[in-house]
Amino acid sequence: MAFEQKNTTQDNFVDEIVRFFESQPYEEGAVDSFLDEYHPADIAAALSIVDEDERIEWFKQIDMPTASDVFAFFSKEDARLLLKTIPDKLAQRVIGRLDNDDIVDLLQSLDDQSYVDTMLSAMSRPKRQKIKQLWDYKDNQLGSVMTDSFITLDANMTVKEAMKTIIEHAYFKDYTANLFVIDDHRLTGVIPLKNLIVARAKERIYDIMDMNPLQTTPDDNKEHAALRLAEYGESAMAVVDKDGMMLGILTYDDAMDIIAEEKEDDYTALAALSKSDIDLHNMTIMDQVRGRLPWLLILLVLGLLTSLLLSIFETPLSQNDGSRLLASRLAVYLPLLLGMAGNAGTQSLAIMIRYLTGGNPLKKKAMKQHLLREFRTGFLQGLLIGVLLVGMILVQFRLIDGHLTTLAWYTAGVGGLSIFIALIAATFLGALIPYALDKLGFDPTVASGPFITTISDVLSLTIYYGVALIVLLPIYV
Amino acid sequence: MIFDSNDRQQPFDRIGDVLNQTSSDELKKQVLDGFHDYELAEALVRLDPVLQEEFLRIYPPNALADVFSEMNPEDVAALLVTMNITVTSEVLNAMQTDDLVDILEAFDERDERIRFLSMVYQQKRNEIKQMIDFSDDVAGSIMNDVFVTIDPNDMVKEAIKHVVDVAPDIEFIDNVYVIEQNRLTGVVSLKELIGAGNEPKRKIHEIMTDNVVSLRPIDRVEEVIEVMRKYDFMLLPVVDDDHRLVGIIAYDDVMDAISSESDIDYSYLAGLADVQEPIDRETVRSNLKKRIPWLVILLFINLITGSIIAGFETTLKLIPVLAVFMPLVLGMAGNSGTQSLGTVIKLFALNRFKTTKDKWIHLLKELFVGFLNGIIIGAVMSVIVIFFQFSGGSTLQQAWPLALTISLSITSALIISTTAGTVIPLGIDLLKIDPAVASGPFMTTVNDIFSLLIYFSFATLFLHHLI
Repeated sequence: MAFEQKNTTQDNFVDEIVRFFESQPYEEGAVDSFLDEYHPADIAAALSIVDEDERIEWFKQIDMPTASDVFAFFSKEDARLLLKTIPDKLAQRVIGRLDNDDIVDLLQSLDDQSYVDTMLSAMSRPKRQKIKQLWDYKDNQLGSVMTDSFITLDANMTVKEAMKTIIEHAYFKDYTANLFVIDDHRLTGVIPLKNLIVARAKERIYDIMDMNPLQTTPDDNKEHAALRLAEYGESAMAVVDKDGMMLGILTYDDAMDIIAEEKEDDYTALAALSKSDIDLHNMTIMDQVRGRLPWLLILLVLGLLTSLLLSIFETPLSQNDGSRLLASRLAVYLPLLLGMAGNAGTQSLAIMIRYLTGGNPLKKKAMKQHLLREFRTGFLQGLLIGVLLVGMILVQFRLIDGHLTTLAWYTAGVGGLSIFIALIAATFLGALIPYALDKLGFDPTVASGPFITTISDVLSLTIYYGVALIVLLPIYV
Repeated sequence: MIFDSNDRQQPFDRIGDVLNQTSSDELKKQVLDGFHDYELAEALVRLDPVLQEEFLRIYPPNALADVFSEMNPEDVAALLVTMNITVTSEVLNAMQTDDLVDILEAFDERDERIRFLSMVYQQKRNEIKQMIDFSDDVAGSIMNDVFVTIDPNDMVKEAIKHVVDVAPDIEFIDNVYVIEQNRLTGVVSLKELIGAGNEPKRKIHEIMTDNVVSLRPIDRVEEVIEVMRKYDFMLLPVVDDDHRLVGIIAYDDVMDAISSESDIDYSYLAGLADVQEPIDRETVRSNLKKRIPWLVILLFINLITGSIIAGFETTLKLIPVLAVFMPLVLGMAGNSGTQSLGTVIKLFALNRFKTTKDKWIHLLKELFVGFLNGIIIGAVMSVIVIFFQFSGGSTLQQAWPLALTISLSITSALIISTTAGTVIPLGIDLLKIDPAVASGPFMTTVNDIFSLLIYFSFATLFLHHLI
């Protein structure tokens, strides 16, 4: 083999593929043997950067099963476009070879029902039935992402027989790192391929398998399942029905996507962004505006609440010079107070959301303890920040007036007390609101960062101005 | 098996029960073997000290190594200090190099780090020293250093035999790497190799894939995640500049990296100083430790906002209504700044900034986005303010100065905060610091300062109309 320095970046692979297709005409069979050395993901990437006409032309040159493997790596958008332009016969062959869960995903995204029926009609009866089973799982259920591309062994097989089964099936199955052991139609164990190849030929599978396969049910939340798989550091988790019959598996690659998307959703909600996928090259300015403006408008309306409240409080504060002085002094600490309470609320909101969307189902008792802990935390940080603020206000008054008046002490006291109460309330509510939303069956992430900030703004304002009007107004006037 | 697999008890409780029993050590060990390493790890950190000691006593060191690799490095470090030296040394030597690096880094004191490092065999010790140099967020820090290699001229038969021979000592054999003249030239999956078993005399170079996707140790973890997700890889080879295979990255470390990378971003956006613990291990103290640092920092940054407002005290006394719309202007600027910050951090996490040009294009786009959002929100706001003034009995003549002040402020504040929310994290990245440290609350406070200056400047400009 001639030795040449190969660049390892994937971009080069994509370029090489594009250049190959551009250099037609090619000899019989050349396409197949050339593409054999490239990953389907790179071939898909190459096809997706060229014009539509070329894409269709080139795609038609690719033989099965490579064509289907490549197709699986297309974005949903590209996949739909391509399907519209290739003959039905070819489309049927391409789709027929995809994983069942991918077929369901793809077909469900098409609007044309008669086209969907045409595609389904070309499939074998058992395959159609399996697809029908998957069709009804909800998007957030594990059943919607499980695959049936794995190998099962019988518990009574010998290692030798098992190896024969594997050699027969390996080519058609994507996932072979673990083999699942079935006894009397039920999942009873799992064995890594690695352990199998080092085992003695006459040993029984039953004797060398692991009897506690990681497993769950198809109605399990897919994010919980994916996070559990990651925690266990395994490459696949079995999906069984309530009788222990094996329906499919969740694989590490799907788990990676699920975890990444789930965490992205949490993140975008906290940042008040829309859930659209961020893509630097395809995203236009209008897309960005469309993603953000609705949030900003909602927040504007919520923000008006604070203005409304403030305008009510300002009325008794604009009577004479004394009250106007108080109004301006109060305004000095307003952003500080609102900012601090908003941050404290966002902090405890973020922690609660992570618990609610995390991998482990939460016990009621642990949740109650957490809420209690949030209250104590709010109390302690309120106390600390309150004391610091009292100090800060006293120093500021000292700098302005040259000495400490009774007025200074009272103002500092009101500031400290307000931030103390506001921090307790914001910290506690930041945890309580998403928890309550979750209990009521809503998505807790809608209680996003800016949303909780607005609630804590209203609260803190009321506390601050309420205390000030009662305690400080008589002194200033 | 002693326990019914349908037992509703949590694995943790069951493990505690096993240790409490009076049966022989051998039997206990066997039952413990039936649990997954992750379950044992979760139990080990929660057990009381007596049972912990019992666990460490009866469980063999090489199996303990697997359990330790599932635990938090900090928890392992705390356990290691309590264990006897012989066992510790055996456990450490049985561990993967990348896990060992994490554990050693978890010791706060250099002396302790050196003490434990000295228990590791010479060869492994040198590898660890190399890896400690890698920073946390590059491919080198999550790669495994054991893998199977074969020669391109090997026959399938020989290759299979080699794999079978080394399999017990190597965690991941799902891909076999083909090495020629010290360079990585191809890859064969175990599946393909076994599938080729009926042609035992075929040469490896005939069945291998030539174009191996690989990364370098210094490539960012974000890039590792991108490649693994894009190709659905289980294993990814890492090569040095001479194309020598130096390690492989496995799916399990990548799943963890996806979680921890995004947890860090999330925590920073929320203004938390640390990533959180499982719910039953959190205490009021650990809770406070995460939050207080940011709150105190913000309190002091907010001294600036306080001083700005104090500086405009005369203006405020003349036009008290300014205070009414102040939180709204600040809030809107803060929100749009957070949106921009969030977008940049997400683009970093998805490895979308490949070149400097990408960053400039993004900045330019953000400018337009800020401009458009600013104008729209400003226009809406002017209508609202005029309406607000009318309901207070003002005429249009009296209403427009305030409406103009507020909508101009909001428009400018949105443009500035969108820009700042983009420029600041991009700038921090230039300094080779994780851009996520430009946390949400920090950005908001910075934008508060800008917005206040804008707000009061416009108010001063229109002062004689406003009074």
